[in-house]
Amino acid sequence: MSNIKEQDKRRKQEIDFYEQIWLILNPENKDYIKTDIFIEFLKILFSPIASSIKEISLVLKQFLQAAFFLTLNPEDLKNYVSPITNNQISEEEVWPLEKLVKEFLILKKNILAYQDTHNYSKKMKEDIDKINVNNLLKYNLERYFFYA
Amino acid sequence: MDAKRRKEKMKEIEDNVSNIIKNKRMMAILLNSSKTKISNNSHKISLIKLEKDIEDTVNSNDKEKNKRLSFLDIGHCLNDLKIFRELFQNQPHIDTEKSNKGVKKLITYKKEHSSNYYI
Repeated sequence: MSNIKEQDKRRKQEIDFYEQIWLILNPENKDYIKTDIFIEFLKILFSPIASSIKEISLVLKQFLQAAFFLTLNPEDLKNYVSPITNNQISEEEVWPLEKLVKEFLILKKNILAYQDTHNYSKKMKEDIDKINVNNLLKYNLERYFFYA
Repeated sequence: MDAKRRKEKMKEIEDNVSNIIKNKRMMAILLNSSKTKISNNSHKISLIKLEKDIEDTVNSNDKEKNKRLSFLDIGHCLNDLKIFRELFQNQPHIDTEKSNKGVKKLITYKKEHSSNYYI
């Protein structure tokens, strides 16, 4: 039961983060965002260089200012529309970058363990197959000698 | 646009440019100061690998190869990077935009939980 609750909680966190990252990267409410901007944004988010949430969000803020410098006037009102509900969203409802980074770090938690359990490397897959084949062989040989 | 307004606009643009240069300098300082933390070669290699992984994942989700991503593409990127672990669970990649099943599922989910969504 608690497992289902945890899954539900995680799903909710993921949806919120999904919506917010789109809003932050798409203040002009277009159908698409530029791949380069998304790549650089992720590199900063994932980077182990910055040591604190404040530091990461500061770099992100500077990056976004530079990315939208030519197209967006900071004094203009931004047009935020939720990609999920299509509702208009006010600027106050959009997370500050510190919150986005904080939520990202929560979602990123245990990423290596998750990768290990859900994304076996090729070598590990081969090893597991080898163990399974050996066990099967051993089992069959034991059965053969037992009945012989 | 009259001369006065044009002058103001030019001043505004100059200010913005100098701000950006200042920000770039700050970013460089931040990164340089942080380099001490990744002076180890293995750290540098893992950082390069991480950045390459991100680039590969995002570019592989840019199906039309036109350097732009839709909302759904971003979701798949985050799923491939293991940030999303529940949202796209057991869902195959959706190829065409018309079959926005993933987004539809999200809408239903958010509507169902709208009453006690933001606690």
